[in-house]
Amino acid sequence: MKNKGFIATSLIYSFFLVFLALLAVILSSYVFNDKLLSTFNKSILNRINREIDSTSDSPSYVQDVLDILHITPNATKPNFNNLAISDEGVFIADDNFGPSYYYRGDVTDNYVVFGNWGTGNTRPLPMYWRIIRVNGDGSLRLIYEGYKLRDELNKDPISTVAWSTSNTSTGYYNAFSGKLNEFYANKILGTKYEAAISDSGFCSTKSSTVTNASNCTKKEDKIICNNEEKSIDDFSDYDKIVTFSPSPVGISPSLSCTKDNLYSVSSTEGNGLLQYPIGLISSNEIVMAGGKYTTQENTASENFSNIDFYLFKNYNYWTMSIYSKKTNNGAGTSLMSIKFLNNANAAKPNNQDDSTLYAFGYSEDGNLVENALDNATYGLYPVINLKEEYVSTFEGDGTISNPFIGKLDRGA
Amino acid sequence: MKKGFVLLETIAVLSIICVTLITLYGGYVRIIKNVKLQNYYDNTEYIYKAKTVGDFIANVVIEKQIASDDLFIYCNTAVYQTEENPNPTLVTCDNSGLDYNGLLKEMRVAGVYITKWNTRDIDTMSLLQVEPTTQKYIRHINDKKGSGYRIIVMFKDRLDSSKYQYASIRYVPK
Repeated sequence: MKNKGFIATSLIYSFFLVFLALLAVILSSYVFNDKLLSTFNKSILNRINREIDSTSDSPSYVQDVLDILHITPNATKPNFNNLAISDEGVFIADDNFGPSYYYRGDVTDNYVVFGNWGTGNTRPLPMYWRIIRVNGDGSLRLIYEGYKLRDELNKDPISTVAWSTSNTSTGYYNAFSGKLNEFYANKILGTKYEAAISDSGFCSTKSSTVTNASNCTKKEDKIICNNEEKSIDDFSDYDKIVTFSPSPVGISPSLSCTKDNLYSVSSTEGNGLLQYPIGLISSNEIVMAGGKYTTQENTASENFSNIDFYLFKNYNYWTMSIYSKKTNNGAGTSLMSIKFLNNANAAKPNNQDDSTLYAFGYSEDGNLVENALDNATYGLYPVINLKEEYVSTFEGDGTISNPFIGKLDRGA
Repeated sequence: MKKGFVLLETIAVLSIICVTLITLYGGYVRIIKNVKLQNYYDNTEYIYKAKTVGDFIANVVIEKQIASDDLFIYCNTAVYQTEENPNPTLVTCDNSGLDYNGLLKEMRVAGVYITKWNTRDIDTMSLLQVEPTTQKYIRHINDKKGSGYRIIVMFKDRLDSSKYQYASIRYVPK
């Protein structure tokens, strides 16, 4: 009797609570689906926009990067027979993804701060890099310059190492990739910087469809070999800057290469042979930046040495480009297959004479030269690519006193 | 004593219920608004339709036609007088010259506009040339970064409907 109406009241409260619970479930389900749909739509929209954008001559995301870097490219093509010893600015050449914008000469507005040389709890030692070029996919290609310690830039290479430490008859491998991987693993992998790295790849000859490039001729803009038209991508790094120089084709450095020759982690656009997205500069990039191959037949009348452009480091350093294997009579070249994997068991190509294997290097006296693979006096200046999304966070004017700095390094 | 307690209890319970309901209602209104936006702006179906329209228009509109304008009207449903353009001409999307293969009609396209990619750069006076619903959509677009062009396509919900749905994608004139 005392509890008269208790059951009715309880029922009302219970129904009300069930109503609220149902309402909450419906609303949360709405929110969830709304978010799902929104993410889904956004992703579709972004992909379509990017796909459409990439069909234009100069996609807007590349244009945005050029704006951030204050780049106004030259419409003309430089003469690669000449050294570039003054600030010639930025020029355009196609790479595997589209028009690429490369710096040439003694430029001083291409400094970037990215990453920390110090590890653990040590105070930040910002790493300085130089921009080589804006890649066709909008990413930014950088070469290591040094790290800053007490207002001084330490410009030593990250390591000094032979290109290949194994010249035995059982096999060889390139020692530098191990050092580059070590650098990447210590400074970038697993840090906040890893997400900013792009896998845009590095061109270096692994195979070539042209077997005797010295027999090729140039007709207008086309290269004809045995009555067959060839793309510049079909040639080795060596052919582009050595065989063709000075005639009949002329020095024809290029930033593009076949998929087989594009070293990358992913096998979508490149050959998928790299462990980490880190490499070295190519001999073609050095020529395009203002250097020139120094022939062994160098004569006093022609100057091949360039110490007045941004890639001169006053230190011997390796490129990623193989020179070739010279035949015994010195007439012509054949390619060797490189394994850019730190793999001592990599198969050695047939008929290779180890004593004649060379790769391109840039010397401390300013020459682009061929260099025996076991030369241990050359250093490594790593090359990386930064994603265009990260580059869009850059501030600064690119000079050494006010370098481009992205959001990850501001306030560091 | 007992009556006073019941009154207090009732007031307390009612207050809690009111606060709960108001909170839920606020959330509900926001969600419904988002769902409506989701339905009317850039849904999957209309994104793909807009791409098809963009591919079609890219063959007939050349860059110099649109480069000088903040907002280029390819076709629409009504004209709006502005100070700059006191006598606008209506060009509807079912005009046989613009829709020569019947694609726009088939997709119930009511308006096609080409703007700068960053719609924040569009002059307010230019916006007045288009329907209020289109103005609202353009203001809703939040891509501040980027250069190039954007194509905005206005679709009729149904043939006899006065409701419009919108989608916009990047536009590269050929």
